[in-house]
Amino acid sequence: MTKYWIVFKNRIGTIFAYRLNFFIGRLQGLIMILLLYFLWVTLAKQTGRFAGFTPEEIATYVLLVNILRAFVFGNQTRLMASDINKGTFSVNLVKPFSSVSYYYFHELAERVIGTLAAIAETLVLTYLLKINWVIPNGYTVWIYFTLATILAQLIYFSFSTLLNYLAFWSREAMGPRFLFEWILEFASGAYFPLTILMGGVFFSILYKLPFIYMIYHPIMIFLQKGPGSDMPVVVYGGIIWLVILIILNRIMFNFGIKRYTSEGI
Amino acid sequence: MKKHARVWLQLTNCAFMSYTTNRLDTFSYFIGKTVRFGFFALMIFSIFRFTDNISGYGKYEALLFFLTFNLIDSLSQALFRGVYVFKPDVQRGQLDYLLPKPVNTLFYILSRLTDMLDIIFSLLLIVLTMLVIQRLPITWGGVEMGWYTVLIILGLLIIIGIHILTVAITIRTEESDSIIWLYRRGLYLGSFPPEIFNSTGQFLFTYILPIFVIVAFPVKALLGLLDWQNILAALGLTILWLGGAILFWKSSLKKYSSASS
Repeated sequence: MTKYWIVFKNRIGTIFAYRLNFFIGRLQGLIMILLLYFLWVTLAKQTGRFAGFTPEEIATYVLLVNILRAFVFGNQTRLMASDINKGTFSVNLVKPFSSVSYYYFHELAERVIGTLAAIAETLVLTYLLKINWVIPNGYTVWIYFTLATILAQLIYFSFSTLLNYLAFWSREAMGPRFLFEWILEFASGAYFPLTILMGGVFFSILYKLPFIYMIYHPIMIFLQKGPGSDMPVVVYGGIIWLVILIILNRIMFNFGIKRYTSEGI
Repeated sequence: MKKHARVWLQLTNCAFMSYTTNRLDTFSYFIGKTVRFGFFALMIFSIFRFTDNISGYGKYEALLFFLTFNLIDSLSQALFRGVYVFKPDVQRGQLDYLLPKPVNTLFYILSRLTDMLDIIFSLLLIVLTMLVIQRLPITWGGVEMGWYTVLIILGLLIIIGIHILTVAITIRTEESDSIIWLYRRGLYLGSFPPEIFNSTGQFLFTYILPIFVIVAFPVKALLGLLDWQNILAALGLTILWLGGAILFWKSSLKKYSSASS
């Protein structure tokens, strides 16, 4: 475990070496949160209750998106694909550690620092915009929310790794990743509560996909409302998706590594 | 002018060949852009299932804000993509090779990478915008259409100013590639009517960071909601941003050390 701690610690050092980029990166996220906050709260205040959300609930949703995005999505998820394409992935194969764990802890450092920054931003926004949070009652909700959030991060990482393995077959893995990231952003509920699509064909499709476990389900548990607030069902569903993704990852890696040519090193 | 047009055509031809070589990436990026556009459009249509207006704007007026934002964003990406690949030139000292070329250095830096996908996307957006305008009580060829076009051009000039600022900051700090992404994210604020923001936000994103001048002013002019004082303000801000950026570029160029060359 010590070796992964070193990976984690080194990555934190790198983040703080490029402070301007980190700060501007956070500012980018904040701009999006401001847009979503003003849009959804305006609509909720205009109609009293928008798509089943009160102004307080929708404000809580948007602020939680800011924190969950940092914890679940992260920023350095393309590194593995880039290493495979450049041939530098070879270094991981000869070192005494699991390459998947290496990338997990590398990305985790970014996620932890990002989450702490997101919590600080959220507190500042809460103070400046005088936002009333909806806080859940009872420790059971907090436990399920925490479990759903950890599962969300693991599901995202497994999905992301699966896409990175495409680099074993093609030097053009970044285009498919770009496509995946945009589908994920919307289908996970990172831009709007998916409830606004309810009743439509899109909602029934999105509800069956794993993306919904990344943002929408954890927040719905927190808010204790709508489809997705059935806490044990969400957690079991998340575990099933995670197991499926881990199996797919194994299969993809075993096939992909046979095609790896270390080209470019 | 003729020389620069020839250079741009040659650079665009090179970019086209690169896109046709990396077919999987090209296809995925194009579908990705379409998916992003489609989801935002779906979001707007879904909003209007629950209400008949966003801060007083109807469905097609809100769509006009969204389409104008996309059009301006796509046009600027199509034409000024070169900024995104400029940082390595400074880090490796390769700007040395650009400075003596018999072509305007800024022009070359901004336009050396033409985004073919965004050119195609911009054409589609122009068609969609015209379809939405047809749904609104606006006279074709009327004075409002003229102001809409003029203000989009002013918006693009401010965007050129922002791109020049990014290039100049890159020369000074070598750590600023995320600044252009900050601008890109900031432009999203213009995808909805400015009235959704509080008065501080409206002031900030009109006069300090002129996002609403770039996106919302053309739409408001088209809807007949922009007075002449605001049109003058748009002109003043364009001169300020573009002029200021060029001065800053000239001063930054003097700081270029050609390190690592």
